[in-house]
Parts: sequence; structure tokens; C-alpha cells
Amino acid sequence: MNSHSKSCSAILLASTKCIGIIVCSFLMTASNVRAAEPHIRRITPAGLSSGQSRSISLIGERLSDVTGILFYDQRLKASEFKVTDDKNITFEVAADPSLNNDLYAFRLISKTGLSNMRLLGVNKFPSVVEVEPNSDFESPQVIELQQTIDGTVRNEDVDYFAVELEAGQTLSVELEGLRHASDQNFFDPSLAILDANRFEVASNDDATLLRQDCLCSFQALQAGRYIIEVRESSYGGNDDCLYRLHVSNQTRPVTMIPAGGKPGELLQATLIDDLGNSWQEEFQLPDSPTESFSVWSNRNGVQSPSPNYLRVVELENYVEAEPNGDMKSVAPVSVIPAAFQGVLQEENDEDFFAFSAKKDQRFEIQSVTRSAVRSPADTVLNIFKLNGNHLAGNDDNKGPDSFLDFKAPEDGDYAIRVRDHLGRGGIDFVYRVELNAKSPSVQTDIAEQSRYQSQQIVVPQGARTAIEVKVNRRNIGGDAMVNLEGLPAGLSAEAVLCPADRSSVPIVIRSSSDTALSATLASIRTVITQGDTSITGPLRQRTQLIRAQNNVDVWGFDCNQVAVAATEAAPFDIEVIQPGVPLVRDGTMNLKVKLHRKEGFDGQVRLRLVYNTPGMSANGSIRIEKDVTETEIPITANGNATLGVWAMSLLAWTSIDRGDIKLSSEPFTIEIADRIFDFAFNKAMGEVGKPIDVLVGVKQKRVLEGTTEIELVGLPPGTTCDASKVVFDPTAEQVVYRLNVPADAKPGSFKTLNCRGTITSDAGVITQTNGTGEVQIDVPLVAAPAAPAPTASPEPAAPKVLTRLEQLRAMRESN
Amino acid sequence: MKCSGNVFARRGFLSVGALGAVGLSLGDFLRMKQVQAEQKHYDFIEPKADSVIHIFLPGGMAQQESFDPKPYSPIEYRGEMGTVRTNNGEIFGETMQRLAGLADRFTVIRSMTHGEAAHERGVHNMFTGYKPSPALVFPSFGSVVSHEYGPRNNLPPYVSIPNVPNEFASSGYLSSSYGPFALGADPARDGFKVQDLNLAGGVDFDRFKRRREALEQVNQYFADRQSSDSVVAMDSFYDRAYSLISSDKAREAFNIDAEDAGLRDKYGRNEAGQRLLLSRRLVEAGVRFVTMTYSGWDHHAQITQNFRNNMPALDQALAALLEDLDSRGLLERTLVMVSSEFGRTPKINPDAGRDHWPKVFSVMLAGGGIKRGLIHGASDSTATEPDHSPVGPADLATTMYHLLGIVADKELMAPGDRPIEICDGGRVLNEILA
Repeated sequence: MNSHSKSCSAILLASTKCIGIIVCSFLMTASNVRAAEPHIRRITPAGLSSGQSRSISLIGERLSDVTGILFYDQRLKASEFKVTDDKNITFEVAADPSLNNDLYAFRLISKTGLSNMRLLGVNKFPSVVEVEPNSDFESPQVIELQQTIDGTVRNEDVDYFAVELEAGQTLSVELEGLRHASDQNFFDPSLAILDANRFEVASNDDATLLRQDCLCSFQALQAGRYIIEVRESSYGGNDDCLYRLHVSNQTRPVTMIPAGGKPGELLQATLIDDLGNSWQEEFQLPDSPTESFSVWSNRNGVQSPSPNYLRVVELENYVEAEPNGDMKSVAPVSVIPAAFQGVLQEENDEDFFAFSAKKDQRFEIQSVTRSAVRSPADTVLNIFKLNGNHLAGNDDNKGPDSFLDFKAPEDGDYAIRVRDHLGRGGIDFVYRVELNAKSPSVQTDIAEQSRYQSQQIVVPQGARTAIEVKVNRRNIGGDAMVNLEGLPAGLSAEAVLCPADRSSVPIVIRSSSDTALSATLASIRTVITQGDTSITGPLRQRTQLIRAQNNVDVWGFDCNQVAVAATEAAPFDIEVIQPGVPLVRDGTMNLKVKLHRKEGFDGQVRLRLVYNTPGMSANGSIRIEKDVTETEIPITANGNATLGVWAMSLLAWTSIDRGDIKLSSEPFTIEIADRIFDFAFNKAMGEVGKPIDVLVGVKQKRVLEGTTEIELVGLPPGTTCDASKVVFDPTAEQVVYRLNVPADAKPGSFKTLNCRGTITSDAGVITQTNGTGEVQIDVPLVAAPAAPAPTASPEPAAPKVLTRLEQLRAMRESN
Repeated sequence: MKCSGNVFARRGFLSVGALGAVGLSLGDFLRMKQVQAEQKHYDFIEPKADSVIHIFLPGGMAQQESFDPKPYSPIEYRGEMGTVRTNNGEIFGETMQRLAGLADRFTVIRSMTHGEAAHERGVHNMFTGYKPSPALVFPSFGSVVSHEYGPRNNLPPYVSIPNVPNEFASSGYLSSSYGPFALGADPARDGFKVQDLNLAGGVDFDRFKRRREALEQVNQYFADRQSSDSVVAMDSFYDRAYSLISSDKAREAFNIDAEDAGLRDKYGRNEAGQRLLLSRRLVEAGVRFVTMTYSGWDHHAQITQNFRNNMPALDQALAALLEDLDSRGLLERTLVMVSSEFGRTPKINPDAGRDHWPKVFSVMLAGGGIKRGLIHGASDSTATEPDHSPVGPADLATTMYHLLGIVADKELMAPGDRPIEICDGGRVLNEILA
């Protein structure tokens, strides 16, 4: 058993204790061509046996400068690494005998970056390679029990394997297919066991425990030959649909009860297999709480082909005691917080548990049935006053698991009801519901810089890169100190403070000019201190491996460490000129950027800010073209942008052989300030062929050094303004613009007027734009007399121009 | 299809003359007649347009980057593209340089709106004028026109270029004989040839005639034994295809190589250009309704770059089409409609794209009785919803039918003897009519 951590949506776990730094460096046999972002598409074979070594081939893209492998578990080691060309590499992998049956993550390390994550299967059975042709039922590939078959399902391919069974002997087959897939190659395998007469004796498409993968067991009544059929569920398939088929004479548990225990406990659990058999086994739980702890059944000395998962939390375990189908039959448990578990044995089964609470005592009541236990049950939770009214309920708050934030309305006893949403039941419909006091927690994640790709940290020599760390606080507020730890030698990052009112913060990681190329796994530790108490939280990063339609996350890897690589120097560097003026709400700013090209580099460089602050946004597709070294990035702040000084960094990258080399600028700050001007638009009206005066009330809220100008923009089509931009005296209260409306101007109502205020000084230009004012241009009912000669814009001393309202008042008074 | 019930029921023996041959009982016949008598019926009105070129931009074209930019809103709303001033003082997206120079020739509706943010539902709205219904499949604009007017000059009344663009561009509850004739090939490709337009290799006209007679005998066998829309529809489809194949003039309409090379260049030697040029050629020859699709506009990511890739070719082709139609005097009688299933979100998303947004978007109309140089309606300052004069798909459809001389309130017979309005609840947008 190993200690693992997994988020509630996790499928596969990263070993926290065993994760280490593994960098295997190899002699390259291919030409030293620069590449970037190596990508693994196919791994052949997809795994090996523990305690043995095996040659593995990788097919992918941009593999020419790969130098080694970063395993997420140090008990896997690689050697004899050969780069054949840009698309093919081979190496020898040795798996330590202590490795349990599971999937182990790795990435390739190149001189310029890290590859996508892929998984390698390790199993204690000996590995056998599928031998084609085996697509004819009459001539299957003969295999033995206790073997793992490495195969491929190509288009319309059906693979047949034959085993000999004695009467009463059990055959259990588990297939890893989807769990080896990646790159949206959604491989959904299907499995069946047939007798010699081609009658199907067992079949399975999707096992809940294994997501879209299959598990199929059967006990032979008669001795003879039995055929295992493997195919894609809709007879699809391709060269990337690799599978590992584990053929055993022992069934594996599909569920366990209880499905968790306390840290350090020796848990005695009842295990249930897919044939409905049950037996007892003991599991030593780790000393620290673990959301999802992997355990393996060792029934009759045969380890199950993949893990089951247990919750390890400080909760008193209660397993249902029948009868508990109504509230009257249950009594409050003696200790809370507690974990309730049981089985929805039959259709429309309902189980009740009771607990006592004081008035206003708050609980988080959550089902971890589907997420952690991987049970088929889709729980619905309801809270009742014991033998009284219904108080609260939830079905899918943690989709499809249930979650309730419950506050006891009074001192007394309460009941929790557990049922399946569709009233289903069965021996494997195990559930676990945890009743816990609300407690503070914090964890971090790293914002993706490319959608659906977990963010890695790749730092070119002598440069830096930036990531946005998202801080998720629960039931606690306050400043959070974020520390990136475990960086390889030569890389450094300062701890940064994420203020209480912010949920993310950028971290810049620097590489010195003599940093050796290396890769490792680093962690992020976040601490929130309030008074004498402080809580610490880890990184939680999920790498999505397979997404379904609408980008639903189907299969991925959860890890509390992030891959970090120190790479070769980039052919450029980027510099941002620190803005000298603030960006105001409803304002615009141009960020000046300088590109420093190294000799021989004339490529295009793309730019984007590492993140946008709340209410601020920037042009994200600015490029510095060949032979250009400077540009400006427009940034705007909307009317509700959060005020303050924000740490910022600019990402810059160039493409080499279709991959990207990325770095960031040194940190700089952007200050978001409140508006400087308040504009008040009065509706202006007039007729075609006559000038219209547009009166804009202006209030300058702060006097700043520099020249203040107010410009009217967004003029109605066909109209002009001779003095659309005027120098503004901060003590004045209004500006009047005279619109020239030609006789053929388009009549109508135009809500397009905006005022742009600028304050220009040596420090820079502050710009604020607000709208919208309305101009109504009408066609006169009678022929209009000749338009008067246009007059110049009124001087400050000129008679006051009346608003439309004032004009109407004046008309009424004159009448 | 109307359910004819049990043909051996007692009342079924009471047949009406020759109708008995196709299985209609007196009860059925009278019921049908009664329903027909209750149908709303209108005569054709004076049409302003003889043909329609419906340019559909699948995926949902962003209004902000095309006909309705918001240059003074924050970047997350206005996007990263600049604008161009049109020749009538309005502004369009920067990639529409040529159309900006012709803005005095067409109308833009900036206040199109509906409530369907899924592609297929939005497409249904914009191809039928109806919201999708689980009970009924509505006919597309082209099929209704085909049903109402039929073919002209031996040409199919409804042609889609290059293919039938979606499931809602077909005949719906009408007979499938009113479905679109799809080219099945892209006119932008070298050696472009419309599928099935010429006799198969090795088949001369006499042999073709003998084949047709043999087919007619087979069809007659089935027609004598059952009443099926598909048999009748296929028969009429074949009839039209025979007319097409046997008419040199009709076939020539599809021959894009006959166009002047300079004009082909002017449209652009690309998908947008050649598809629009062929559209003009077809309406000139007599096709009543052409639906042309171009590119994909579902820009959830990198909308700026995608627009810069997609729009210039369409800008060039559409400008060339308007000038070409105008110079030939065809624009006054040809309605050009540029639409999409919906617009896109006011805010730029984290992938530098925009997502689906049906609440407000833009449609362009030109010719065929539409005012020149008009902007109808407006969206609000962030292109989030119509500021005034909202226009729904039913209004747009009703106006289009009105220009073609069809009263959209007229009822067509749907399955189950249900009379259904061609378009329900729309109004003619008199404000945009010349």
C-alpha cells in the first residue's frame, strides 16, 4: 500500500510520499535539432511488470531534443535512451518490485521544455504482447491465467484470447483502455467472455469503479476453453487505442465497506467483487488525513489489477445496522463528527442515521459515494428533525454527489436520509456520507495558460517565467503567504503575499545564467495565519487526459506537485516599461514593451499578460513581428475594476518547430485608480441642416499635473465637429461642442456619443472614456430656412448654453 | 404524411371515383376538403424581388467584429480589432474594408434577437423563422419558395452551395421534392463540376431516354399500389433533374468557367468568391433561392486572428457581388441576405474568443426592395441586447417573404391535416423597405 492524495473528482492519484526528483539523462543519437514542447502520442507497450525492465517506444512530435524522463514515482527508472528522429524515441524502463498495480505518470524533458503527461501501467503479472491475427473466434491467441496482455484495437478490430478453465474455476478480466488514452483519443473498450459455442457468459462495457474501462468475471460450470473478446464499444479503434488486459483467476473488489477510516487505523473492511462475493481484509491507513487513499486487495496472494480508494479522515465510522429504513428505528450516534456508510441493498432502499446537535451548530454534510468510493449509487441526502419535518435536502451539489451546509435550528436530534436518485439498489451500491463541522482550509491551483493543459513551470536559462497561483480559501479569510518550494538548483522564486481581498497572485520564477538543465517536481505551500493559529494548504493540480463532448472532464491525473524544468536560454528577452501613471476606471493605457533579440533571432514574438486583474483586460494577441523590437499593449479598466496596485508580469513566446519557447518580463505594477472625470450628457436635439450644440457636464474629481483635454467621439454619421477636442480648465463645469449637421445627414436618434478625457504629463497619459450621450436629429416638418452661418465654439465668457430642459423651461416662462 | 388509417375499415369501402386508386375514402376526402377550406389563403402580392441569395455564415458570426463594433467600450467588450469608417459615416470591423465602401447600398439590422444559444436551434430559427418544435419539422425559406413558385427556366428553384448546409435547410413537413438541389462540389476548386448534372460516362441521350422509361414503369408499379410522398417526391425530383440535364441553357448556369476571368478574380479565387459568383450566375439564370455557406464562424478562441483569416475573402466577394448585381441591374430584383445563427458574447473569453450570444446580433440585407444605406435598430453600448427596434427571426422571414410576394401568414398543410402558417407572428419591417 502506498499513501496517495486525490481530489474528490480525481480518478488517479499521485503518490505524495514517493514522488521525487527523477531526471534521466541520455545520450542522443539524433541530430541536435531545436524543438519545443515535446508531445507524446503513443506508448508501446503501454506498461510493464513490476520487478522487471522493458523496452518502451514513444511516438510523438518534437522529440528531437528530448534529454530524459521525469517520472512522478522514483521507483521507475529509465536507461538506454535513443532518439531515433523527431517523432520516435526508445528507452528501457525498470520497475521496482515494490510498485503496486497502478498507472504511473511521467513527462519527457527536453532542452526547451516538458512534454504532455502520460501514464505507464505497472502490474505484477508477466506481460505478454498481443499477436495478430487474433481477430477470428476460431483461431484466438492462447494465453494463460495470471498474465497481462498488451494489445491494440484498430478500426473494426476484435481481439480474441483463449484460456482453459477447470470446472468451478473463476476467470476475472480487467481492461485498461481509456486509462491509457490521451489527446482526446476517446478509447471506450468493451469486454466479453464467451464459451466454446460462442455463447456470451459474461460481458461488461463500463465498470463504475473504472469509468469507461471494463471488468468482467465468470465462474466456469464446465471445464473447457473460454474466449475473451476485446473490442471498442462501437467497433472503432486506431493505432493509438492501446490496452492492457489483466487476466486472473481471482476476482477483485469493486467496493468496500466501510469506505474509509481514521488516520493510523488498521481498518477491517468487507470487500465485494463483481460476482457478489464478499470477504474481509485489513488495511493499514496512513498517519495523515488523505482524501483518497489507494489500497489493493491481496485475496489469495493475488493483488487486484488496480486500486480501490478509501477516505482517511478524523471521523468516527458508523456502518448501517438494519433495520434503519425509517426514522423511528434509528437512534442518534454517540460521537460526531462522523462518517455514515452502508449499502442500498435493493430498489427504493432508504437508510436513516441520526445525530444530536445544538442550536446554530453548523455542519457540512457531504456524500463521497461517487467521487471517492466510486460506487454506482447516485445519492440524495435529506435532513429531518428526528421523527419530524423535512429541513433540507440535496441531490447533486458535488455532481453527482450531494452536499449540504446545515445549521441546526434548535437543540435536538436530527436524521439524515440516504437514497439513490433513481431508487436503484444492489450489493455494490455502497455509500459514504460524512458529517463534519465547518472547518477552514486553503489550497492552491495554477491557472492554465493554455486551456485544458495543466500549467508547468519551464524557465529558460538567464530569464524568468511567471505563473498565476489561484488561492482557494474555504471558511477562512485573510492574507495568504504563497511559497513555491523544491525548485531545482539555479531556479528561485520569492514567497509572495496574496492579500485578503484577492484570490490569485502571480509568482515569478527566475533562472540564473549558469543553471544546469534539469527537471523536478515542486510544491506550493500556502499559509494563512490568523492570531495564534495558522493553516497550511497544498497545491491541487489536475491534468486532464481525456475530455468528452462539451469538454467534460472524464479522465485525468491529480497531483499536489508541479513539474518544473530549467531549460536552455531563449533567443530573446522581454522588457516592460513601468507605467508612470495609473490606469483609471473606464480608462485605457498603452503598455510599452521592448523586445531584446539575441543575435540571429528574427522570429515573431507573441505577448499577453500573465493574468487580468478584476475589471481590467488587455489585448491578448499582440505580436512583435520580424525585425521589430517595440510595441504597445492596450489595456482597459471597466467601471467596476477593483482598485489597488497589482503585481503583474508579461508573458512572451516564440514558436520553434511548431512548439513554443516562453518566458516572462520582470515584474511590474499596474495601479488601478478611481475615475478622474464625471461626465454628464444632456440629450441634444436639432434638425438636419442646422448645427446642434452638445453640452457635456464635466467634473474633474482630482487635479493632476499635466494638460487636460476633453474630446467628443462617436459622432453621428455624416456630422462633424470643428473643435471636438478642447483643453479643459479643471475648474470649469461643462464643455459645449458644436456639431455640424449637413442637410443630407441621416435623421434619427444616435446614442453613440462618448467623451474621452486625457491628462498628459511627462509621466504618461491618463485616458478615461465614458458614454453614451444621445443626439436626436430630426427632419423639419416644414422646409427649413437657410441655415445660419456656423459660429465658433463659445468662449468661456459667452452666454451660457441652455440644456434642452432649460430651453423648455425658458419657453414656458416666456409664454 | 397524413395517416390514412386502416384501409379495410368499413368506411374505407366508400371510395370517391379515381381517388380510390390511391386509397382515399370518402371520409378522408371530405375531411381533407374541410381542412383545406379552413386554411388561411392569400394571393401573391406584388413581389419586389425575384430571387434571394442567402449567405449563411455557420457557427455564429460576431457582431462586434463585423457590422456592430463598439470601439469605446473596454477591451473585454470591444475586442482587439479596429474599425473602419463606412462611406455613409457608420463604422464596421476593420476587416470589412470593401463593404465599408459600399455601405450606402445595403441595410444592416443591428438588433436581430432570439433566445436560442445552441447551434442547431439557432440555425433552425434563422432558416425557418420558427423556434424548433419537437412536434414538427418546419420547411426552410428555400423550400417554401420552391413550394410557392416552383421552378423557372428548367432550373431547380432552390439550390444550396456547395452542400445542404444543415438539417434545417430542407423541406421539413413539405414534400421532399421541395428540398434543395445541392451542388455537391465547391466551385472554388479547379475542375469544378456539379454532380449528376451530366449524363453518366458511356450513356448517350437515347440510352438515357430508355432508362428513364424503364424507371417510370417501375415507379408506376409502386404508385399504383401505395400512396407515398417519397415515391411522388422522387418522381418530381427526377422530372426536374431530367429537365435540367436536357436543357443546355439550364446546365450552362452551373458552368462557372464561362465567367470572365477578370470577374472571377474580382470576386476572389477562393471559396467565398467563387461560391458567390456562382450564386449570382444561378439567380441570373432563374434559380429562385440560393443558400450559400462560407467558412466557420464559431470563434470560441482567437477571434481576432480568425476574423482576419475569414472575413477578407467574404468582404471582397460580397462587395464584388453587390457591385456586379448592381451593374447588371439585378440588385433591385435580387435580395441578398447575410445571416448567421446568432451573435457572440459581449465579453471576450479567456481563450481570446467569444461564445454564443443570440440576444443581439446583426444581419445584412441588400437589393430586392430593401433600402440602401440604412442601419436599422441598434444594440446597447456593449452589444449585449437590442437598444431599440428589436427584430426577431419571424420578422426577418416575414419581410423576406413579403419582398418575394408571399404573404407569410398563408397556411401550408402539415402532417395530420394541420394548416401551419408559413411564418407565424412576424411583421413586415416596413422601415427597411425602399
